[in-house]
Amino acid sequence: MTATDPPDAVSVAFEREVLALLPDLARYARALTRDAADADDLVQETFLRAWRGWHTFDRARELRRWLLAICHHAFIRSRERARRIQLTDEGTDAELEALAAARGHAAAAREGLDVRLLAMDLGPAIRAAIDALAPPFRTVVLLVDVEGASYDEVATLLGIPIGTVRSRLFRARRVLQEALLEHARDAGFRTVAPTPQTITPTAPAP
Amino acid sequence: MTATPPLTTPIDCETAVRRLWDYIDGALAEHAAVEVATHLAACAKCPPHFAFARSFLLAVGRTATIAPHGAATRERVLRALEAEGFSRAG
Repeated sequence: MTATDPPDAVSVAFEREVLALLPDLARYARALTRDAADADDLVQETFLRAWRGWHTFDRARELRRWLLAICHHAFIRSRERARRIQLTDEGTDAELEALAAARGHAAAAREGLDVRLLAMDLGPAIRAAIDALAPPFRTVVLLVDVEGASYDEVATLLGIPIGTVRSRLFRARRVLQEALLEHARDAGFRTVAPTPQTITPTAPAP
Repeated sequence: MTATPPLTTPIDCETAVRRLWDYIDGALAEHAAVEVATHLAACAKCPPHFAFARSFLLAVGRTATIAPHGAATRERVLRALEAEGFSRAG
């Protein structure tokens, strides 16, 4: 079987099983690229690569994870083509991020911000805060907190140690939490939505 | 004969909070998770942090309900696939 002359059954199976995941892929691509046109390009590239590799897909694997991995690697390649990725040291104890998050919550709770935050429509603020994360952090948050992947799965998918997954995830969550609490603080004094703050944790290689 | 419960030792608030995300994500070893649960059952300060963290993660996860794609994206993908031998149903 080749991709240039597939039996109809292969196309049917691909459309039924793989293309059915287009909404998931589109959401992930949009969040990664933060640009509608770039996301469309990435979705198309992902499905083309999936089509070319469909005959090699191991049915024991989870199809959605396989597609997300293809999408992630296509995204990385597109970024490498666009610019050289700057390597920086992460050097963060993941558990310290949990401590910092709890301290941030304690301070916010004293102002009643935590209650206010959870009563708000957070969708736009969360999406803005996730968009503002540097790509390596955004990727891990999307995979774990939005797509429901485990640490193990993300480590395998991204080709990084579990410790790096944890440190990126915990740091990103703390930054997101701080951004949302700031959003709630601003909402207490304004009736219009605040401009999302720029969130730029140091950016390690993906 | 009953199964031996995992060995646990009392932990302080800092240790419990250090494990906050791992605990919520279900990524802790059993004995470590039991230590956190035991601490939370007896502590007045820590449970609000964990409750807030759970609510926060639920809110983040709910952003998944917004799927910005449309028929145009699907059509574009199908056309690209057809150029490589795919034949759509119907």
